[in-house]
Amino acid sequence: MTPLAPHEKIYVDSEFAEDENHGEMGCEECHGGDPNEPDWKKAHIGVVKDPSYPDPTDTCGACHEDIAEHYKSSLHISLAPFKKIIDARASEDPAVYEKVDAARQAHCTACHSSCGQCHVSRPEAVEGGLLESHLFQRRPPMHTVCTACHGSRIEKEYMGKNKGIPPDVHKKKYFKCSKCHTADEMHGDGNDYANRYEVENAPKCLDCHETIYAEDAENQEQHQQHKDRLSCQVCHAMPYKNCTSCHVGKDKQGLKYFKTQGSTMDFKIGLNPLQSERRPEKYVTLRHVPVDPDSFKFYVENGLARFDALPTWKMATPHNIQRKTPQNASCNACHGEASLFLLEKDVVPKYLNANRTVIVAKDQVPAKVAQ
Amino acid sequence: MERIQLFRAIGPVIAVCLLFFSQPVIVQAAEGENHCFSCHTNPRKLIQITRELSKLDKNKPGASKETKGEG
Repeated sequence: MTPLAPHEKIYVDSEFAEDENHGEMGCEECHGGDPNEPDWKKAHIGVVKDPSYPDPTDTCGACHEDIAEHYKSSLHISLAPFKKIIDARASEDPAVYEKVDAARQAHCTACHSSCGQCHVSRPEAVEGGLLESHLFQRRPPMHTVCTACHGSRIEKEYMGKNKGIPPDVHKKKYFKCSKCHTADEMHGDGNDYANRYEVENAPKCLDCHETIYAEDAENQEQHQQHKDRLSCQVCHAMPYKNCTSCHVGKDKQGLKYFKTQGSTMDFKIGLNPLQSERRPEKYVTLRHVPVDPDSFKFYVENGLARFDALPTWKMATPHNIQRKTPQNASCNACHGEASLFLLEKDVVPKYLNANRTVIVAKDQVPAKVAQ
Repeated sequence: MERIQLFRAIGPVIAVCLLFFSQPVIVQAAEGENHCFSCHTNPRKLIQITRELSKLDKNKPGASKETKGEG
């Protein structure tokens, strides 16, 4: 992503005045400040950089009421799953929990978005700057918004930036993020979801590939055999990035930092940690997330006292989908191929207890089949 | 008669100039109405102001150098 010069970040295209909706409003109606004051310093007293965060009700919501009414349930704004998973692992001691929660708010939820930080500017987490000089973008641009934040894993997978791994097949078809991740998914629907996989309007492969089980469909037999047993990614994803051991803190100047240990490219099939009617598959691809018992040690000892409450290998939907992959080249490219599965030996000893529910026992690796 | 000929000669030139070099009325109105718009649509002013600001922020620490790894 090309960085913007400081003046480019705040440059407004005069064409904005021709926007028949937003252009007819005075700047101060959303941003505050004094438009009649010629001294720019005085004019900026009370100016709000992003009037849509944290609450867009009186700005965007004044016209886009139907969208803004559910803003609290937009995961991009609330980052609610972060709180839920950290709370599940956090100490039950109120004094300790308070420090963990403060650290979470300082570090983990700093990368939120907002109406404005998708449709008007680059997200603040990547130093902001107006998109197209304040001309409102109906669809947030992929490179300056979506992958500006989702860069280290999703962008590299999707764009084929991981060495030796080709771009996602959908990228080759010129799909932008918004092709699958629609506004209905992004904007929230009022439900307090535990994670993004539960979101009602989240994309499903079958939304487009609805004919894979039809009698005359190519590979219909394989799809029928594995239906509801494997997630699509088990057969169609390539190796993806896994991160370990994130620690957060503040340096001597009081600036926030994070440190993660090296990341590795891997492909691991494990037991579905979120098995439900909606996601009945027994096997799914798992990605290691960088949580560690000492992630918040800088702030408090034993902050994640219930670390083992959740696995550190999480359900994953890698964005490097291929029609043909090494594991679907033949039946026995996967069946009996224990190295594809998350076995006990693949898990760092201190994370073993946390991952008991997703580790595949040796006798659970599907046996080789006669061909 | 001469005036008509003169108008015929320079009229199209004026029309083309108006078409390509003038800002739409709505933009002119917006600029006239408030200082936010007139300043934020003027790159020269913005460069000047952001330079002033960067001088003020000179001693402000940026991101921590202790950050390591992928976020």
